[in-house]
Amino acid sequence: MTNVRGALGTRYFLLLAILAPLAGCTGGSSEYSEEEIQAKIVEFDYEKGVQGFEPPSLEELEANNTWTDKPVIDLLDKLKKDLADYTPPMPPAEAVNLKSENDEQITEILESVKVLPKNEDEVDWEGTWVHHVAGDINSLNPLTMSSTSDFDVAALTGVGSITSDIDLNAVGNGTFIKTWQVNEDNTVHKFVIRDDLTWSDGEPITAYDWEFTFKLVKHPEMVAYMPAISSGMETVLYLKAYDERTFCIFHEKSTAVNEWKDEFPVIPKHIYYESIAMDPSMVDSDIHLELENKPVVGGPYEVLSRTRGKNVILQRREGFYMHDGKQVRDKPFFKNIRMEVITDTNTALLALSSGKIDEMEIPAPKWNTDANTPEFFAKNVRVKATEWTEYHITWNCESEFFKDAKVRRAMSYGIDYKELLDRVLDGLFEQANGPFHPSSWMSPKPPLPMFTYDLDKARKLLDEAGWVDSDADGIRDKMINGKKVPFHFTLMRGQTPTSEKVARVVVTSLNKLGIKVEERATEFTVLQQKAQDHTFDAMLGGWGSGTDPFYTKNIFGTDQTRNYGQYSNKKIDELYEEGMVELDREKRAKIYQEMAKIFYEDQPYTWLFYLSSLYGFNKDMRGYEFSARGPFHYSPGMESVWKVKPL
Amino acid sequence: MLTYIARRILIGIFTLLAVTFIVYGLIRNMPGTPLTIMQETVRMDAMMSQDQMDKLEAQYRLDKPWYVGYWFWLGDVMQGDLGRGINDRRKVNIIIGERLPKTLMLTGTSLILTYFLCIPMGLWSTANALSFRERLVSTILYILYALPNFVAAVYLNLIIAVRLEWLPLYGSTGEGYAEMSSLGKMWDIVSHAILPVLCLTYTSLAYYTRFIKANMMETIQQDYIRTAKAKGASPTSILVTHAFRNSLIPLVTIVGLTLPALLAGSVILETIYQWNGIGYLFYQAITMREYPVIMGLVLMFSVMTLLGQLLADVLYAFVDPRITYS
Amino acid sequence: MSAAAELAEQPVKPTKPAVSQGFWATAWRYYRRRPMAMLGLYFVAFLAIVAIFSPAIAGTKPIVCSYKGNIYFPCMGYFYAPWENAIFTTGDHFEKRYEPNLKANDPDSWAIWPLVRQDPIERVRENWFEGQPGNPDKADGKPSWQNLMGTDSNGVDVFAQLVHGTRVALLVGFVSMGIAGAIGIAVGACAGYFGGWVDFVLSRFIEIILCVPTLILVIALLAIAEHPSIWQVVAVIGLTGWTGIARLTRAEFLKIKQIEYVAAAKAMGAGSMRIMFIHILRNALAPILVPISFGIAAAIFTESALSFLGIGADTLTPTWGRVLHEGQNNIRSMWWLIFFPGLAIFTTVLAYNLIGEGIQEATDPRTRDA
Repeated sequence: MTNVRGALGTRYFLLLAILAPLAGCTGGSSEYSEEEIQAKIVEFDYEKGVQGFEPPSLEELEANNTWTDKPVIDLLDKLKKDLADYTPPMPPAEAVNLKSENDEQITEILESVKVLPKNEDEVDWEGTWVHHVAGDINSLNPLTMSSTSDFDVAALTGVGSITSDIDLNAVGNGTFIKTWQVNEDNTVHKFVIRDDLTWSDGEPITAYDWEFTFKLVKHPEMVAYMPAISSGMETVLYLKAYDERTFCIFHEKSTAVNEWKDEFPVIPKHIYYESIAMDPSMVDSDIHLELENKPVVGGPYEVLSRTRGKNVILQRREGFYMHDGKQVRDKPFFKNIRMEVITDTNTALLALSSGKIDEMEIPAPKWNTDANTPEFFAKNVRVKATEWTEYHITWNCESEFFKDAKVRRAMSYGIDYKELLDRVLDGLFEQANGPFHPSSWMSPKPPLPMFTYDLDKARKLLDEAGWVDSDADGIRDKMINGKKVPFHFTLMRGQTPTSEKVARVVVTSLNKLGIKVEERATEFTVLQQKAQDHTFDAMLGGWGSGTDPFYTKNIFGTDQTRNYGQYSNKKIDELYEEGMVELDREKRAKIYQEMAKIFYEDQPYTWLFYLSSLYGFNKDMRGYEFSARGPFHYSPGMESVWKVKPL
Repeated sequence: MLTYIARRILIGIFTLLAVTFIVYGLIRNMPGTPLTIMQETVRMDAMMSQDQMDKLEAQYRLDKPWYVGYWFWLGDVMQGDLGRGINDRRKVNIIIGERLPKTLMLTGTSLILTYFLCIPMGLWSTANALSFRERLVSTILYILYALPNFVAAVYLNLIIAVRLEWLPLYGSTGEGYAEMSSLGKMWDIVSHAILPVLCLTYTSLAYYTRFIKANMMETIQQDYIRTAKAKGASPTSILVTHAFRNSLIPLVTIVGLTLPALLAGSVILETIYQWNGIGYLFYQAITMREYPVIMGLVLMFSVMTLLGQLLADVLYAFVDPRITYS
Repeated sequence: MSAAAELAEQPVKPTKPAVSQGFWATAWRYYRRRPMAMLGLYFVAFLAIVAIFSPAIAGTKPIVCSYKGNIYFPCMGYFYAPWENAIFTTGDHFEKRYEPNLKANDPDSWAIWPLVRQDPIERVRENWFEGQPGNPDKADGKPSWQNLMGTDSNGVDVFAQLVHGTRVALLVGFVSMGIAGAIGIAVGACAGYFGGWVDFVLSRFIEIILCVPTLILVIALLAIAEHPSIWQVVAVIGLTGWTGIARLTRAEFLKIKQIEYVAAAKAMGAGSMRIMFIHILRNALAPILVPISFGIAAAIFTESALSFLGIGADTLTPTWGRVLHEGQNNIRSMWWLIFFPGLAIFTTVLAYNLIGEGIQEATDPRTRDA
């Protein structure tokens, strides 16, 4: 493989030499002396990002704190035990022949295929899972990952202390962690890691790797290279390894969400300690180029090969489940997992139909068309589950149109939900009325009523807000600062087919109220830039489920970074503060329920629906179950999936 | 002629400066920066702090006005450094170089195929002008022109790759390519290329055929063709040796204009066939505001465009001795 | 031959030399004799008629109606929204349901309806017309008597969209290629004819425009344009699409200006403009007409691609490109979304090319009699 690459490279350089004077020089691979390396390490200064905090000694900590144990679970192991006596409603091999024509069938399929193998012989241990990813895998280094495809690789190869279970609660990752304790105000977290962990090069995984990685993440020079990881770490002060197996994380404030900040991927210190000081970009030096394609990992799988734009092939790592000749963890179900990059959904669906890939996310418009053909059902089954990803219209509360909550409520009454959800979107999604899904712990009980399509109510609200058609041109207008402003606004949206369909319904619905809506497909970057600059009237968007309602502070808190619509409500700001410092789950739930009611009145967004995870799986695949974030992005997630041994 | 070429190359460098300056100005003034997207890929609960943003801006030279940024870019290029990608943080020349051979294979084959098919078809159409056969062929070509290639690609895939399994569905090489024999490798590459090349080629047939015919129709009415006819030259010889040579000027222009297409690739087909060529890279670089990658590609396209123009201008003088550059 | 025969039949006064017809009049005379070229012209004229009368062909708003004692022409709203009388929208809240509302609010009202009662923007619902069921959508929207060319995935009638989309299709094609043709021919002609430093400057200009990728221009335009409209699309296509035409014109001029008749015209004292645009251009048309006639059709594809980037017609303006785009999303399940707009584009390309061929042959004295 490397040879082919080299050959292409040379050919290319010849070509460029003719085309332009661009004789590029690659990063120097020159040998450095030991002194030079040490000098570089001193110059780089690993402590740069964590200065100003002196961690106490372990004795001091033990003396001054009382610890509470937090759950540490090997979630795959737990699932195996939970399902040991489980009898599926019908044999999985029959369930996968159902065609998911209604919700009952889908439940039946999901309840049947989630089974784990009853005995070893059922599993195709030598098999390959061809996992579809829609975008190229940018980086195999977990610290520099930036796309969902990267996260998939990181999930299967990476090491971390905290993970989320199927209900999206923070759980100590029992695969790697032995104990996890927190002090009274939740500012110090103490971890003890397991003693049977090795990196893929045979070296032991130690607490020092955590400390090393943490310092990298906080290092000011590294921030530019790993924005996805380091942005959330500002309130984490220090991570101190006290011995090979014990480390503590020190948080700045006492909040209910500190555990989520303990979560970051860990890389081996013995590999990167020198090389990063020499080359902080992590892509220039030869050793980093090599590691980028074949990183040293600690997870159940390791990287076998990588072809950019095509695939990454992972293989089961013996060092993960075997230690000193003893099996210490569950053996991963696949010999290989091939992450196959197919960008075009039509092509991917054809690949799924012909059995070339084992599973894929089905775009909603294809659910009842391409994913409903004999060709598709020959080898596959389709399943769906609600995600906690809401879809909404953001109203710019500072624009002259949407300043008044009455207008925003009128908008919410002016949308033909029935046409939108039942017809245009095939009844695949359930209606939404707030940021929290009704089944989540933070949503109001009993649930708030849904907005309905009620043009008379909407007209009344608009009239009250002063928007009337005074010049009889069919468009409502209002005098603002002595100028007549027609109710003519632009609805910004992304380029996906679903957003196009939604936008059409919004345009035609509101048109009946005497409002002219111009909908604009907008290139993603332009959309984001306009959102961040607040230079829009309204826009279609969606927020994926954070693990904790506190995450929405970013979206609805006054002047917060993702508050694109410039919504501001003092009460909401106060409640966010309360909700963050309150450690009791019951009391927190009350706080967020109250917020949901305020949102309902204020309608900073018109919430439209919750998206569903729509997936097609090969009939031989088993062991998948859906969380509110889809079938993979939780633990065990991808690790519990297995393939039936062919007869 | 040599001095003419030398002069043109010298001037070409200035044109390149102008083009890169304009493009740099345009991309820096498009809404959004590379950091716009980066802000959205970070964790839900936080965005980058102003401090982090400033660091990143400084690193990508976004803190400087665009015309200053341009000089930095130019300075680096002079030293042979095209910079580094922002998402894919490798050097730009490596990113482009990885995809260039694949694109050339697709577009080069398609371009050659187009001319090989269209020149004879154009000549044939001229010889058979206004006949029923000629009308039928040109109508078929117009139908192909109006049939978008994403439609053809999907149906060809469905029938040939999925139902019949004659050719691979996507990709530019198959699994286990590295272990194949050289003959096996060749077939592997060819089999992967057939469908995309076909889809890339068929839509342009109508245009070139019609173009050649239009020019030939004019030429064959010239006096010297009548002379040749009168002299008793065979119709084929008249068409090919006399008339075609005299309609080469527009053809040379078109060849010059299509030369940059060699490197451009096709976004739609590259996506459908997961081809990983330049077209998709360029589209992605623009949407992600990967300034260094965009500039690297524009530089490459521009060099190719200028070469195409130069080639056409030089060939004019060879094709038609009346044209001189003094 | 027939031309000569015609001339012979005319009464000839030997004392006075016959005044020869003008160039364009002659060209038209020859053009008319080519049935295929005329067919192309008829087709484009037909499209123009469809475009002008689109609200009368397909629509859900009456062409003319009497309501509460007044006569209205609500169908004009399809051209420009405020022309739909406000009494039907913000006044009596018809919500697009004319037939039931007319009857309910004013028993004496009457209306003349478009030929096909289908809307190009919205799905016609069950209660819009008595006896006309609501439109099916998605894979159920096959062509039927109710929906001649089927419906798209939102249930909007394809026939209505194509009829109303003709306006944009013609506009985008003609105006953008008009701009491109004018610039291309002018620049190319000057560069080729004058040569020297004029050629030098103009050629560099062409090169620069050639090198700047259109996609970058379009996205940069988004920064400037507050409400991007169809006119900006036209401008972008026109202002960037002329380089090929200019290069072809220039090449022809380089060649033709060396031919003797140009020298003769010069000797007779003809001005540069006259020589360029009268004497040379008509002989240089062959290679230019092809990119122009294809360009008019290609503009339809470009419009569809650009509206994907947020520049172009908005939802309330139906276009052929949008139907095609819908088809792209439903490629395996809804063939009619590709077939009918494809057919429309094909016939348009064919027509433009027939016209192009006709013009070329009618303007070239050597090919006229062929």
